[in-house]
Amino acid sequence: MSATYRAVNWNAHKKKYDLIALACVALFVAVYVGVGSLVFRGNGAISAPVLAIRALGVCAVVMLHVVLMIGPMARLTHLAAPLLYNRRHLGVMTFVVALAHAALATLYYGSFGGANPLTVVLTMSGSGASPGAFPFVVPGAVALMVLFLMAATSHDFWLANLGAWWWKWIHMGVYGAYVCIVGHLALGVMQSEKSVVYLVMILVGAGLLSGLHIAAGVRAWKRDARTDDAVQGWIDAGALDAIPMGCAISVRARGHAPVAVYRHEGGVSAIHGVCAHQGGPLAEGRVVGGCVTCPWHGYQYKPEDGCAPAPYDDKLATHEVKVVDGRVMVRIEGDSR
Amino acid sequence: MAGMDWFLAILGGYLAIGAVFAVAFVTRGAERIDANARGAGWGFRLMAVPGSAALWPWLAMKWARPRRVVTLTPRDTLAHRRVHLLAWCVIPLLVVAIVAWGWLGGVDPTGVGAVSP
Ligand code: HEM
Ligand code: FES
Repeated sequence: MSATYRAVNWNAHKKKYDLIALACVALFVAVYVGVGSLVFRGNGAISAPVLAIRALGVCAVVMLHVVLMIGPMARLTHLAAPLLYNRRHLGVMTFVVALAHAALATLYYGSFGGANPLTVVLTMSGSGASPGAFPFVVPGAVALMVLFLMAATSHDFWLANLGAWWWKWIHMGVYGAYVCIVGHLALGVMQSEKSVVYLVMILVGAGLLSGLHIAAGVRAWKRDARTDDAVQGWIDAGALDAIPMGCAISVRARGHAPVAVYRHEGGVSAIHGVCAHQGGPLAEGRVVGGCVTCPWHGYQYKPEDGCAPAPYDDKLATHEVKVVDGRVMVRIEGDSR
Repeated sequence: MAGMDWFLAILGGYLAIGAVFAVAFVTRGAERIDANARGAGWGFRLMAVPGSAALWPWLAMKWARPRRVVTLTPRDTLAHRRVHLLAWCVIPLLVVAIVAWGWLGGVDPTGVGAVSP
């Protein structure tokens, strides 16, 4: 994309998305603190700061699960696509909520005894744990650093200058962060609250996440395996009728990148199947306002020539197409990897 | 305690240098390595501060030797997708192991103490 950077590329959809997300966070924390102070009263009362620390921590964990679920869900069903367009903002919000949790916890638990508060929290063991037990805040802090790095590099400026390859690997660090959070909970709160609630919630969360990711991964694997053997020349992409209006199918010749074959008002077009932004699968997108729109973050290309609409200057390769006896034929030659 | 203090001091020093660097980078350096940052507003520049403070050694190198960004035909993401799939086969095992460790008492790996239930 070539256009002067802006702080946030908001549009009506993203604004609505962000407002809803913010409202959910506020509601979650308020309800958690409210219910907590009603349930734990008298002798077992929990002070307001501790309730707030816990509410923010649990909220961040829930948000992390949602962020991690959106990707595979969008690959399994088009219905989840609107959630994907703005996942970045949700990720940054997750970091902010986790940071609030960590800052409050550091101020509250770390300000005894005059030592550096950060040292105090990073070396303490969970309440109910004996002094030598594992310092459960350490994995929490590692996770927070990963979330920070991701939030800090989420702008397109970083994507362009780190390069998609590095950027993706940095952002895959979120899986490490997730595992660290499990450690933060298992060695922290699960030590003082020996109830099965935490155990069951962590396991259900992990089961959901891995189930969704594995299902989406296996499906993509199967689709990618359907490559055509023709090395070059014209390839049969399938029946024209099989492509719904405004949608695409993916064809792949051995040794070539996938090609997205779109059916639109102006006819049929074949365009390089990998988005210039972060390599999103263009064949899984659809035509919006006359442009092929990437399902991941909404980059657009004109189907006729693969050019992004002004002011952007990305261009994807296009391929010749013809319809013969109701079959769509695509010409794939040269090295288009 | 001492080890942690040292670690935090080094991290703090790194980020302090990064903060000073970030001010210079977002006002002058960013547009040297990326033409799209030329004339960008304050919102964008402020937003680039945390990342610049964290990644300053690498950015300093780029700033010293700016290279034209070459745009290539985007590469296929197949390899990445396979890594995702593999990762999610391993993660549940890790989660179960960590949760079991916590459930069974969160024994300190250094062997100093165990958690009382
Ligand atoms: C430097 C970083 C962090 C610090 C200092 C920290 C500190 C703490 C402390 C002291 C507790 C125990 C609170 C209590 O029992 O009253 C706790 C619990 C918790 N933390 Fe963190 N944490 C950090 C990072 C994170 C992150 C990144 C997340 C999530 C994304 C997280 C999620 C939680 C959750 C869910 C709990 C359990 C709350 C409950 O009692 O139900 N923490 N943390
Ligand atoms: S990969 Fe981000 S818009 Fe296509």
